[in-house]
Amino acid sequence: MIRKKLTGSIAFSIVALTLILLVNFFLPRLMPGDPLAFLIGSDEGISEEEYNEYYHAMGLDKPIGEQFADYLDNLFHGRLGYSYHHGRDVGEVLKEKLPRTLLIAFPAWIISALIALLLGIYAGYRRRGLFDRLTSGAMVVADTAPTFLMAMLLLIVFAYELNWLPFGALNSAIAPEGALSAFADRLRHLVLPVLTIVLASTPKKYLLMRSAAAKAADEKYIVYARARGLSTPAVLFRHVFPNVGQPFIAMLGTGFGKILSGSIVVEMIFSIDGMGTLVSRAITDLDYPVLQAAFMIIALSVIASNLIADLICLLIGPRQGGAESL
Amino acid sequence: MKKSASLKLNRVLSAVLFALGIAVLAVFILFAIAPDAIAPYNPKLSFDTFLEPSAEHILGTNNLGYDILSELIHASRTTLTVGLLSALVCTFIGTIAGVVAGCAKGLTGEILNGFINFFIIIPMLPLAIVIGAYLSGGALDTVLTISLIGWCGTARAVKAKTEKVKNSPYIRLMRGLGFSRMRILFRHVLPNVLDVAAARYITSVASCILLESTLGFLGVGAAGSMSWGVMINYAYKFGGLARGAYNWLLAPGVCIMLLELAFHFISRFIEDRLSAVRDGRSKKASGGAIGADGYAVAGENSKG
Repeated sequence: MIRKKLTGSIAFSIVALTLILLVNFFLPRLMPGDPLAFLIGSDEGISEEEYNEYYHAMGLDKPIGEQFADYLDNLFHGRLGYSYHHGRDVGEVLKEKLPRTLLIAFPAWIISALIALLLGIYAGYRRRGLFDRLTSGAMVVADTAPTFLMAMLLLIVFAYELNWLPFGALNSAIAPEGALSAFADRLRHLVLPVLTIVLASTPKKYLLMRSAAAKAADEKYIVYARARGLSTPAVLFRHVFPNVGQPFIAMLGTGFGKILSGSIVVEMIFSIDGMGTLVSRAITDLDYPVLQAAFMIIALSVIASNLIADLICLLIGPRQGGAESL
Repeated sequence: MKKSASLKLNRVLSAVLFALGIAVLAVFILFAIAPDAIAPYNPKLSFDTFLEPSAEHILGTNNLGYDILSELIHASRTTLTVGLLSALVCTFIGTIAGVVAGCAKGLTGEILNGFINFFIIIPMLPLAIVIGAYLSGGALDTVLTISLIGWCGTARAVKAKTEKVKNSPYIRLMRGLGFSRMRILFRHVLPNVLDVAAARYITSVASCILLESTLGFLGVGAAGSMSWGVMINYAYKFGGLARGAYNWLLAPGVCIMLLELAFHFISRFIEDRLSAVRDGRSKKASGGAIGADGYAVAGENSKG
């Protein structure tokens, strides 16, 4: 059973990976328009000699099979496509920007997972209590707010009106001296972007955890655990979570990609020079290679984190098959 | 006793919120149908720029001196049309894919399943940005972009229902009697999953509108008509934040949020009723008590 599931999720990851590669390879070549313009993302203002040169350099004069082989070869060497706007390979540009994005994405991912888990499991366990009503109501409202609205509200309230926190970027223009104060400065800059992503990504996980815990709360083994006099945390984390936690863990896996894509909007508003700002600029410039490379990175990280989440579910799950709830 | 009182409170609350949701939706639909009759000014009429909100200009004016309220009312048409239309396409594709995936066996079923799962895990926003960038950027292109991506949640829900229906006695009987598969599929399975599809349509509209406004805000397809997302994009790009023109910056966002809330309450009310009917039929009282206050946990995340 476990073995079948394992091969299943590995096979799925491989197929998904192939699909992503195919989409990324064929989109610029098959869309109506000039494939060269799509491949290097240039607008007009390119001379005919330059055009021919790029046409040859991009391998567009080769047969399509050979192009695909070249494409794969480039990928393995970290070359994600040449961007005319940046004048160099997108892989290099991303290598520079990605750490800044991860600096807000990772903390946001962990914090939102913890909040969703703790609040959700308790609210579900004591469903329809006051705590459940208040948190669930707040989560529903947070879930309907567009990320950009939330980011702007936080920025307006905490940076523009109250002046408590900086407007954006990752550190002050003149970084304060000393490692400790530089670190504090960095932390102050991280608060608002991380908070925005946490607010945007927690509700879905919370609602999932809550409904799973609510279903478990009436089960006989939970009633028995309570009757034995176990404390609430012990009931929640030794009995409720291991039995109904798999969908939640699965959602954490796919959630990382959603956090990365949420950071596109957040970075733009808080002017953080990471992958998100790169993407939003590429939209205006129609810099296709950048857009495709960013999509590829996000998709790859989702496939990877999805696979890891599947494996964790297999390892901790006392029984498989409970994961079909929705 | 306490439990039943709390359930009753739930029902009343859900009904009140449903009514509120319908009211908000009705207002916005009215905006979209007859913007010229409702908007105080022509949206392309120039006044002084950056006027504060006042009696003449309830939401003030923007960088070009346009009345923001009028622009907002006119922009509701694009937002709603794109949302309703792309959700319709999503529901159509999702229902077909779900029914077929639920009925198909063997390799076809596996492939279709894998395809649905693939679209569920891939974040919508980056894919929508890539596809949207290749299209020329009118409102119809936005509909196409969203429809290509947004059908998977519906497909999954419909698939789950199809699997349930497929194993019910009357379908098994029909199979035993030798009815053709197509006939069973379209005459007997499909009508029985339409309730799920209809409920999903409402959730789908909400997520399509959210995706549309995020795309608009980021400037994908902004060349087309003015929607709420595009309005925020302009407000952001032309210094709404630095000038402190919060009325300009936040009004469309608040409208989007109101609309999202309205759809959420409407779909929750309908889902409550559906599950109440279902549980009444199968007489599973305990299951109903949990389902009755279950918040809809949508599969996809239109925020990204």
